[in-house]
Amino acid sequence: MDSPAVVSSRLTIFDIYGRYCEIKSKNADVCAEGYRQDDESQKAKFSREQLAELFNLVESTVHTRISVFDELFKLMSQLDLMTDFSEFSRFYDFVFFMCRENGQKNITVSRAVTAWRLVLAGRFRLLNQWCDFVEKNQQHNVSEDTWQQVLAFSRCVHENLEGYDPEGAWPVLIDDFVEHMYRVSGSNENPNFFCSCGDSESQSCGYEEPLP
Amino acid sequence: MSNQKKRNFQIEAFKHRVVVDPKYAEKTWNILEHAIHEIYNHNASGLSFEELYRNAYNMVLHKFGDKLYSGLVTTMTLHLKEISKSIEAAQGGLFLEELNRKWNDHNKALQMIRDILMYMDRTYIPSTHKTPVHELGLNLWRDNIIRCNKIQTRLLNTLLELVQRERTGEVINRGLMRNIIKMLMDLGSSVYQEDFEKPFLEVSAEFYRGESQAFIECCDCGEYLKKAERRLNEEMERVTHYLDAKSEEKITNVVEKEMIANHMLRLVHMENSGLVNMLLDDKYEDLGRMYNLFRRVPNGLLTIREVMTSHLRETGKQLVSDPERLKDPVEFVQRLLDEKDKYDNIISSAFNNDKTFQNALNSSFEYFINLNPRSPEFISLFVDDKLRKGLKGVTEEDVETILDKVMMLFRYLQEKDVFEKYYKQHLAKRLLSGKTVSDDAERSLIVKLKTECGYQFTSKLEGMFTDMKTSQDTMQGFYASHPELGDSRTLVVQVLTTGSWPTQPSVTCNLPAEMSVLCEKFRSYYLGTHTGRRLSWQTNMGTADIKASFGKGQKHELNVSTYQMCVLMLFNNSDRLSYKEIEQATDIPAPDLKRCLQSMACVKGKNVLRKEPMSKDIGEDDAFFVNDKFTSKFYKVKIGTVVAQKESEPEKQETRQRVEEDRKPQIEAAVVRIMKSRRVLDHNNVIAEVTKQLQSRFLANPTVIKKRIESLIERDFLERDNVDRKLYRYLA
Repeated sequence: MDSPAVVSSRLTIFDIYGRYCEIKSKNADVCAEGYRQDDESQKAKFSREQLAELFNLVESTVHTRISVFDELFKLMSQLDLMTDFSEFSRFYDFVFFMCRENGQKNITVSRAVTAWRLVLAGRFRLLNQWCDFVEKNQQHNVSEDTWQQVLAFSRCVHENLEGYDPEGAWPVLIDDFVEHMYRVSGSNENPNFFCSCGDSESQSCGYEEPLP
Repeated sequence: MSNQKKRNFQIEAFKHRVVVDPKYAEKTWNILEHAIHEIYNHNASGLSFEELYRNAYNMVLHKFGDKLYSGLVTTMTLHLKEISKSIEAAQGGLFLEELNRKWNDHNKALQMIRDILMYMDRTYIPSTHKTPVHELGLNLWRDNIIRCNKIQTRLLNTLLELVQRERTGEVINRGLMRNIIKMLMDLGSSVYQEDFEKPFLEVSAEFYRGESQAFIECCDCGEYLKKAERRLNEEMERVTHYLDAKSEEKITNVVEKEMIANHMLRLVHMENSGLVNMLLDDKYEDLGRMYNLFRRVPNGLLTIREVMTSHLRETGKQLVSDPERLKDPVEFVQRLLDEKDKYDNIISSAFNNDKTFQNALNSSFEYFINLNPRSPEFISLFVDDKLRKGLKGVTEEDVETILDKVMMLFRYLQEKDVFEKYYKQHLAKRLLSGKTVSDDAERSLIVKLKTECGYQFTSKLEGMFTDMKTSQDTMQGFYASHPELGDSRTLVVQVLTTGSWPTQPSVTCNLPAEMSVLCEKFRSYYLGTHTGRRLSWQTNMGTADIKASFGKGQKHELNVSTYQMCVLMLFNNSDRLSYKEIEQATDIPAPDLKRCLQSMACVKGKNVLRKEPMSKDIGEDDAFFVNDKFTSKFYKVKIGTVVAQKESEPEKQETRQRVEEDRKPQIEAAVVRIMKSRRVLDHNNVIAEVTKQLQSRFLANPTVIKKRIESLIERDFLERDNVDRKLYRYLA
C-alpha cells in the first residue's frame, strides 16, 4: 500500500468512494466466480482488511470531518442513484462506512438519523416517523446490520406497514418501531398485516426499481 | 390326451332284475308316506328302519328320487300346517310352550326321516342340487310355522314383551326363552336377525331413550350413572342367558348410545353433581363409573379429560393468582402439592391410571404454575422451610417423599434457572447460619436436581457444601497453629469460593478491635497456607453471639448479625451514640445499618437499644442508648434472624435482572453451537432450535434471542446472507 502521507493531502470523497467500490466489487467478483468456500471466506476477510485500511486512511486524513454529510451530499448529487438500485445500495452502505468514528464498528444515533434523512429522503415513506422513533427510543449505537436492514425494510414495507412480517428476522429496533406505529395509529384494524409478507415477496422487492 | 386310447378296464354294473311293476313307485311311496305320518304321530315304534331305508333306497335307485323328494315336501308341509294350527290355537302363555314342544317333536321326526332317507340325501340330492332333508325340514318349519302370518308377529311380540317384563323386574321363564331363541338361531342366523334381533334392538333403543330421558330429568349425575351401569350389566347378562353371543356388542351399543352418548355433555356438566362436583368432592366411585361408562362411547374420555383439564386450569389459575395465598409461600406450595395429590389419587383410583389423563394433569400444572412468575422462588422457599425445620422428627422415607414431590413441581417450571438462583441464595443462608436440619436431605435434593438437570446445574451448589467442609478443617488448622487463643473459638471463618456463592461484592465494615485482630491473624494464617489467593470479608453475611449484661444485672446471650455486633460493641465505650456516629464508626452501608438498628431498637421483646425520639423508623438524627430495662424470658435472645423470606419488590426486580443477564451468554452459546454445526440457517429455525436447546432451563424469549443474534452479527460471529436476509451464516 502506498504510504498514506503521499495520498492524504488530496483525498476527496470521490476518491474514497472509488476505492470503496473497487474493494466491494472485487469481493463480489470473487464470489461470482465461485471460488471454493475457503477461498471465498479468505477473500472476504481480505476485503474486510482492505476496508479497515481504507477506513484508517480516511480517519487519518480527513481530520475535521464536520462536513461529512456535506461531502456525502456532494457525492450523492454526482452519482446516478435513480436508475440502478444496486448502485444506490452500495452508496447506502458507503454512507455507513463514512459515518463511523474513532475506529468504532457502529455509529451514533444522531449520526445515523442525520444520514438516513439525507440518503433515504424520498425513498422511505415512513422516514420521518422512523427517525423520530429512533431518536427517542434507541439508546445504543446503530449497528451495521441494523443500518442495512433499514434499507431492506424501507423497500419491503408500505406506508400502512403492510408487508411487514413479524417473523421476518428484522432487527429488534425495527420490530419495536412497527409495534410503536401500530400503537400510535391505535389500531390493529387489519391483523393480516402480520403475515402478508412472505419470503419470496421480501426477496423480490429487493430487485425492484427504487420508488420515485 | 383325449385321443389316446383309453386302457381303463370297464366294470360292468351289476344288473338288477328290473322290477316292472308299474305301480311299484306308488306303492313304495305309500309305505314311506305312511311311515312319515306315523313318525309325526309319535307312533314310530312299530316301524322297521331297515325296511323303510331299503324302500327309499330302491326308489332312488329306480329313478323315482323326484317322486320321493316331492312327496316328502308335500307330506311334511301337510303336517307342519297342522302343527301350525295347534300352535295358533294355544292360548296366552301356552303359546311359547306349545311352539317349543312342537319344535322338539319336529326335530325328532326330522331326525328319523333323515335317517330313512339317508340314501336320497347322499346321492339324489347332491346330483340334483336340492336341499338336504334336514335343512329342508328346517326351511319348511321356518316357512310354515315361524313365518306363518298368524304366528310371526305373535311370536315376536311375545318375545319382546317377555324381555320388557324382565326389564321391569319380573321373573320370566328364561329356559323357555333360551329354547325359542335357540330355535331361531338354528333356523339360520338370518332368521334370528330378521325375525328377532333387529326389532329387539329397535325396541330396546326406544325403551332406553325413554328411560334415559326420564332418569336425566330426575336423577343427579352419580345416580344416573349407577342406573346406566346397572342397565348395561343387565343387558350383558341377558345375552349370556338367552341370546346369541354376537348380540352382546349390538345391544350394549344401543344402551351406550341411548343412555350415555346422547346425554354425555348434559351429564358431565350437570349442575351440583356433574364431573366438576365429583372432582371437588373426591367421589372416586362415581368418577370411576363415569370413566368406565364413558370409555365405551366415542369421545367419551376426551369429554371427561377436557372438562377436567379446564377445571384444573381454572382452579389452578385462581390458586396461583390469589393475593391471599401469595402471602405465605410455604402454604402456597403446600396447596399446589395437595392439589397434585388429590388429582393423582383420582387418576389412580378412578381413572385406571390412564396415561392420557396423567398427561392432561401434567400439562395443566405446567400451565398454571408458570402463570405466576414467583413460583420458582416459592418452591425454593418451601424447600428452605422444610430443610430448616419442617423435617424435624420426620422419617427418612417421608423426607424423600416430600423432596420427590418438590422435584415434581420443579419439573413443571419453565424457568428452572430462576429456581436455581433462589435455591442458591436460600441454601447459602441455610449453610451459613447453620440452620440446615439434615445434611442427608440437603444432599439428596441436590442429587435429584443433578439427575434432572445435569452436572452444570448443581456444580456450584456442591461447591458450597465443599466450602463448608473445607472451612471446618481450615478452622481446626487455624486454632491448632494458634494455641494461645485457647479453646474458646471466638472467630469462626467460612471461606467461600467466589462464584459458587451468591455473594455480592460488599464493603467490609469496620470490625471491633477485638475482632479485627483475630481476623488479621486468620488472614495471615490462611494466606500462608494457600498462596495466590485473595481474602475479602463478607461482613454482611455473618452472625455473632454476644454476652451482654444490662442495667439491673440481667444477663443475656444475644444472637445477632455481624453488623449488629459491630454496633453493639460500640456501646461498651459510650452510653449514647447518634446515628451519624454509629455510621462513621462502623462504615456499614446506610440501608443495612438502618435495618439493623431498627431490629434492635424498634422490635418489641428484642429492643436491646433505646432510641430517641421513639418512632418506628430510623432517622439520621436519632440517638441510641443501651436499653437498661431490657427483659426477656429467655437467656438466649435471637435478634433479627436472617430468615429467608419472600423477596421484596425491588429485590425481585434485581434477581430478575440478574437472571436475564445470566441468560444472555447461555443464549449466545446456544446460537453459536447451532450455527457452528449448521453453518447456514434461517432465522426462524435458529429461534426454534435455541428455544429447544434451552427448554430444560428456561423459556427463551424470541426478542431476547434476536438481540443476541444481532450482537453476534456485530461481533462478526455471524453474518446475514447477501441475498436472503433471513439466512444467517456462521463466520469461522
